Amino acid sequence: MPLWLDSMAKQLDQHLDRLVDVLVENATVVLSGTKLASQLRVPHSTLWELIERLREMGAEIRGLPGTGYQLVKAPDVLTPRMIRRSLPAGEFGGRIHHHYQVDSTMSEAARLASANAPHGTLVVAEEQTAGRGRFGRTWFSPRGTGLYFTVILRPKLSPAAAPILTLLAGVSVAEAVSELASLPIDIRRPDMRWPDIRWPNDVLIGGKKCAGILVEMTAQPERVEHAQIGIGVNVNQAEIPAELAAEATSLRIEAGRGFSRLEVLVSILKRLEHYYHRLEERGAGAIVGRFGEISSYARGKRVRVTDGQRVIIGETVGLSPEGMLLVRRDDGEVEAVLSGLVRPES
Amino acid sequence: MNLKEIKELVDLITEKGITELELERNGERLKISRPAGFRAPEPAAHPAESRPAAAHPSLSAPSPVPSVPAPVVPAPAPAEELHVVRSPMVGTFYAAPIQGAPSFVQVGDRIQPGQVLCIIEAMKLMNEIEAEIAGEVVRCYVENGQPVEYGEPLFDLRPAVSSAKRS
Repeated sequence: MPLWLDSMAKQLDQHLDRLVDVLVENATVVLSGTKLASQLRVPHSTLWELIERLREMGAEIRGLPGTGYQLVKAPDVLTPRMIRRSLPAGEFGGRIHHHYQVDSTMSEAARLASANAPHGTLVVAEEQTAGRGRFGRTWFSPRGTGLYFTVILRPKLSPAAAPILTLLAGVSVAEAVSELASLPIDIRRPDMRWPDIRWPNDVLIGGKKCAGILVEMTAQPERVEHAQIGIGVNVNQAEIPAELAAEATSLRIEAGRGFSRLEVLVSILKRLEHYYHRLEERGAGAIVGRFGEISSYARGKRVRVTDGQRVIIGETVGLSPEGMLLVRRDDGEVEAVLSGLVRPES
Repeated sequence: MNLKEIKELVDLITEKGITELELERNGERLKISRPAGFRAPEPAAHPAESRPAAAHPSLSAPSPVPSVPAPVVPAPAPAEELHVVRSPMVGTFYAAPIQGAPSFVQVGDRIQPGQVLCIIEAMKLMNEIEAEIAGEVVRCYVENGQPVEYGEPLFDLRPAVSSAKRS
């Protein structure tokens, strides 16, 4: 995107955020167009365009000829002000970049990180035009129903110790989902539906993926420059496209009700920060231990691990101290799995 | 059996071109195997091109599996001063950001400090490895999708004459 277009898009995002905040905070009164326009420091014609944009996003805004505007139904958008109000003071979310549309929060976060964005910076988008998973796989990112965000970290970890961040993210999301959807995790009850983590970090409900996590890091051989934890959650999708239905689900489908995306975001961010501090204080063991408690994949599960041409079949027997999945093959040998696709094997 | 002994065994089987070795002592069993197709370095043919031992030692029950650091066979000192980029972690080497896309760098490319050379993946953490110096890529040791060990050489870079190490 050319620089001038990029800065125009950012300005538009800021105007929209400001307008939402002012409308929400004055929902009981009629706001005059003149007053709104001057508060936002935009001409009347721009104000009118901004109001139209919000209406397209599901806001109901009454326009009263001669008097002004009144909010009837707030748009479900995540303005930095709303996020900050719901989030306890901490490092995560200290800086917030909110986009109504962005290529990918991961790409934007990488750009911000290389421009020295501080630890804990949050990038959140209403919609991603090129949401992605590993190796450029796409992550379906429609506006409004899903939650898409990335947190920039500057961990004091060696590159070799950094992979634990993927488990940390999985644990945080699974716990948040469990609490929000009132689905307590009890891995001793395989008959129940609870959020599970498929090693290393796919968050599942009833065996279907409800959240995807992508962790990218930029490092020189000796030290980590920055790491980005990207999280996509299927929140309010009423149905899943047929081609994904066998593998994916949403919180709404599983819990039978809709969720505030703000609530989901805040719940995950709090846990990410909590476990990040645990990692700093007690090391990887704290994360590996918690993973073992809430993932049915950690122990006693028969799995097939596909890594390129190589396939390992066996039973999981725990995690290594660094978080690698230990699989006892049928010939009795234990392998530490570092990468590959893990699937249940019957 | 300590790490030094294991490392010596790995060096031995690499040197002799043995593909598999199994050993039992005091109730500890050690098996070292190398994927077929991996040859020991051929010093006569390529004096400056030494390949690290691609051995994957694994201990089996009853003792718990310790993580065995990778054996690093130092490359013979080349005639010119090359900067060797080594893997900062155990993982899988990817030469390109997307499957089928052009590699980040190729032999002969001139690179700048901070430029991405490759990705090492471990536990789904995608680690972009940046160049620390300006220079030219003169050698890539690893193929796309191959496992790499900690400290294994990935690239040889010929430093640009005026390059200063990025702090």
